[in-house]
Amino acid sequence: MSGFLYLDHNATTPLHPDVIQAMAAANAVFGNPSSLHSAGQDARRLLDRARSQVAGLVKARTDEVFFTSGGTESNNTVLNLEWIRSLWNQREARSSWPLNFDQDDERPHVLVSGIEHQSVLKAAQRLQHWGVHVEEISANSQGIISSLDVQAALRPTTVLMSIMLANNDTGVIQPLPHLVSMLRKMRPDIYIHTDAVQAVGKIPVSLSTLGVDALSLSAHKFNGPKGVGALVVRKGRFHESLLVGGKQEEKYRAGTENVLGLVGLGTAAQIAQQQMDERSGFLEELRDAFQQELLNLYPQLTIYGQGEARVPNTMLIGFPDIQGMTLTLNLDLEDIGVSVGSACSAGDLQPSHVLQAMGYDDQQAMNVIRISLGLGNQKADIPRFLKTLQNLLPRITSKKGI
Amino acid sequence: MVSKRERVVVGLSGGVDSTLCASLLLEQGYEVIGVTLRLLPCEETGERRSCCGVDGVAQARAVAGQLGIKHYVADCHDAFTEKVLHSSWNAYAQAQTPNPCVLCNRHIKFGWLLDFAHQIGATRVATGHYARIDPDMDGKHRLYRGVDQVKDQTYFLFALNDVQLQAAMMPLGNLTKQDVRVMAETRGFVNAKRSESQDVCFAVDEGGFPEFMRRRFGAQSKTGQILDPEGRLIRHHDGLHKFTLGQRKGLQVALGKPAFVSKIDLESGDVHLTTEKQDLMHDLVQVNQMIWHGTPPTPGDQISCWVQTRYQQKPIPAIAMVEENNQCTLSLQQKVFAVTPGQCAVLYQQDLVLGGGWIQTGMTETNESKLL
Repeated sequence: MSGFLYLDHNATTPLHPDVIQAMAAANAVFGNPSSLHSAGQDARRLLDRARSQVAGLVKARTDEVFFTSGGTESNNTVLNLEWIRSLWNQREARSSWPLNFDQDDERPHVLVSGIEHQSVLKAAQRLQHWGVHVEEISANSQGIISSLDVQAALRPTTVLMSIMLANNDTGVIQPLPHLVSMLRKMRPDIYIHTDAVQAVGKIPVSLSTLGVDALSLSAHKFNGPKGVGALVVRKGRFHESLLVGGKQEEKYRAGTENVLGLVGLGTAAQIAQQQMDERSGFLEELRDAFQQELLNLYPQLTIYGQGEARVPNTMLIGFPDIQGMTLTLNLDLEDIGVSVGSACSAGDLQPSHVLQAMGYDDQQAMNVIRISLGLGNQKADIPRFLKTLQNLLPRITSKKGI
Repeated sequence: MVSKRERVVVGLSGGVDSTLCASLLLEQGYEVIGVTLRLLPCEETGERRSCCGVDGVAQARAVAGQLGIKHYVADCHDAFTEKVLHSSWNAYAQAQTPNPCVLCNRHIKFGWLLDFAHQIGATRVATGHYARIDPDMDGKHRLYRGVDQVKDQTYFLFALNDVQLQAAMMPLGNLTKQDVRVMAETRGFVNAKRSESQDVCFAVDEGGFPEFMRRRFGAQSKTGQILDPEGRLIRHHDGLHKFTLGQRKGLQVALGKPAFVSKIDLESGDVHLTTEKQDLMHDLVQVNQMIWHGTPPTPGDQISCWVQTRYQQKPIPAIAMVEENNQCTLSLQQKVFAVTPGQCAVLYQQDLVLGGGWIQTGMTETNESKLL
């Protein structure tokens, strides 16, 4: 796509050339890693290497890394009835299944934030069909989940909390280490999971420093292929599988491994680890310059989460009176790719649930676009974007949105 | 930089007509943007192939890729439900047979989609309809039949207003279907030979469109009896909406000879049958909500014209007697079988569309005196 200015790296990223090369080389290694023979062993070696590369990126042990098909599967594994049942059974001396929907003190309680990715929210909501008590905690207007709110939401029956490390729309990073250490002191019995999909590869993420029990990551957010990721779980804290069947991943996640994809994941993880400081430094500078120039031109813009720690590449921008979808489509027509800060199909814009969870009204929540930088972006992208925007805005603002 | 070519939106269904439309406009130097409408929430398309089902969208996307144009799938199911489906159900509930395509063209294809086009800097909406639009001497935009008399779709386009006709582009109006297939094939479009995309409204599974509508709105339909010409009960039926005037198929009756629905009684829920086709030969049509193109006539005017009371019907010579309140009575010079309430009557002079409206009722002239 020559000439196309891609500014949507939080949606997905291009494959790093080294990743392409590694995957191409791995094509010849076609064996099933579970086979006893040499063809299988060769494949197994590739997996081992990938596992160690991922473990290196998140400062975990190799036996704490469980490969999945991506962030969604990793999230669904934890926010699954089997996992919750296991947590609850650990706590309760007696059997309490099926759950009593009417007695809050007799059913497990799960806390998630309101700004989570849909794969966490929907999986959590589904638990309610079985009587699990699920509650969402709102963020403040800066996108931060307050530890006071978390504390207030805790119940004797709380078994699990899931709060994302970095938000995909705003880029805001939660002060998780602080939150986790507070929680550990008060309630060491609560399982803590974080969806780290938007953080891993952008900022240093360490399982032990964060203090969480489990984190999710996904290759295609840091220049790896789509369809692979991992659930990294502190030793001994893996509860129940989502996928059962064969003995892959130490019987924790059945299914013949996506060897090609995992080679890509591993390679991408290694590159991310090696180049993190340099790349993140560059992206942060670029993003900040971009942001400043935008604000210079349009002081009326809102940059959501601006005052907080954010991942280095992201800005979520609100234009008063312009719908994000309209702007996104028009930018695409000028060969610039950004995203609307919410899931939508062209013509049917839904307000961003993240902004809604941060307390903004529906109208504001629809008037956003997200710009997220990454591999391939450079300084010259800024003037091109701004010039295009300047040409577009007069026409767009002169008409009413649908 | 903003392109200097004129930007137009083409409604891409994935079918050969809209594909060629986009291709021709591209060749003529327009900046073409393909838009496929999502008319129903995904869960409702069932297994059937349809314009907005996965099959149609993928096909449209493939075409856009082949043409090298931008492609958006635009979700307008709220507007479609309200303006087309809901109206259609209301007609069924009144024992009428609606014409959803007329509503869709007016409110969605050249309504909602035109608004969408404006949002993205386009001023025109082009479709693969077989029709022609030309400005007349007063600057009004007039609708003419497509040269392919069989494929001509002006019957469904009569309800467009002047602003819509001006914004519309229909490059296939001067082509026959055969021309279109050949030209599409020449340009290497793989869908050139495929059968046509059925308009999405009919993307239904069991029971056909009326039953789809009923379920969609969770409505009740009056049940009742099916009566033979002597008024005797044949069997019970489970919904008036399943019947239309003049209907012969699907009645599940055995009277020894063909039977037709002659009356649908909203009050009693009864469906009356006749075995005499003659009973349903109409030559007088009461039309409401008349839309006149060009200079509107005055009540009292009598206009010689040709009339269609259904799509692809051989036009019937008639006199249109213009009345107050956008009403009109059509005196047909030939009898027509089962003029159906809820359908549209469209008036022509040769290829020129004069206007059209919604049929309130059809009758035979000899009955007229009973009404006066």
